[in-house]
Amino acid sequence: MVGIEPIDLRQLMDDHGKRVFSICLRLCGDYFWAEDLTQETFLAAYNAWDDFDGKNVGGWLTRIASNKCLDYLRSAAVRHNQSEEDGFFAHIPIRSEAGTEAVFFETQCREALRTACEALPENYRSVAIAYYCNDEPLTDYAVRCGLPLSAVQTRAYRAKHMLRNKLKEAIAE
Amino acid sequence: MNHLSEQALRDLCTGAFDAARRCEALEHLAQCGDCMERFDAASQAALQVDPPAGLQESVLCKLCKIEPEPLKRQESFRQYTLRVIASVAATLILLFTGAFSSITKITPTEIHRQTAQVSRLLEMKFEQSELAAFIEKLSLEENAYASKTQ
Repeated sequence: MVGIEPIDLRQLMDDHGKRVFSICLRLCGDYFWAEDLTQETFLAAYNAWDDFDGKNVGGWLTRIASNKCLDYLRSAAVRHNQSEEDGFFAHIPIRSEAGTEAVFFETQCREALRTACEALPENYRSVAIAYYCNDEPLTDYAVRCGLPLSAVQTRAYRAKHMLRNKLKEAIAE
Repeated sequence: MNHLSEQALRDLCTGAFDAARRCEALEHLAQCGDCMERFDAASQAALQVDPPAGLQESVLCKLCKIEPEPLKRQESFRQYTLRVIASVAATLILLFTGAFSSITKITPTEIHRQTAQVSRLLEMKFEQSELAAFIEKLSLEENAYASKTQ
């Protein structure tokens, strides 16, 4: 099979990105790890495309994502940090009122994220709110702020690390 | 572990399991094609959450190294050029102010005032024509100083 052109990978992410992310979110219980694991899933798919038999790409992606999450759950650091709270995002309850489930869940996630982002120091708050709350890709943010993309990526990476800790603190209260 | 029931698969998709049970379930899925297929189906039926909007771009960046558009780069180069010119102008101001004025002594306060003035210039996004006029004025003063000292 021919390797995926970037544009096909985009299509793959359009078709399956939300579902893969949701799987990772529920399996690892951490919004930011879910983001990382989703990225790893699609990068792995890109690299392994030649070995894919062409049947049921959705199922293939689910398998990759599940294995990534398993590796994550097994890792020593996660075992060490596991507590009874066990991942804020894994357990956000889904109300059973018809039609409002999705809205409620989405709102809970967004509110938790925004609160955590707004508690960050200035430079990190700005990139975190742009990326996690305002749906702005890092490339757009870099252009808008006149910063090199690599600097923005570093800032976003550090912000993510701080956000993880913030959410852990929020759960512990 | 035994094969996963439909309920277990649903629980996996809704976060009803704790980390240990999730791990166990995933270990089974890694070895059982049938259960993995059913898990895939369950994931399609389950509630989904949007990832950050920039996620796709982040993945593509890693593969294709997308850079910001060249047009925007040109604009920041222009601003950079203006800043360099303004810095040079700042040095000239400090030099000439000290040289010209026999009334105003070069005191720390005076230098501070000049520097503050120049800082305002650097912060401003002024037009090229204004900058050109400013530089021309400085050149005239430089020539006048040069002819005075000869």
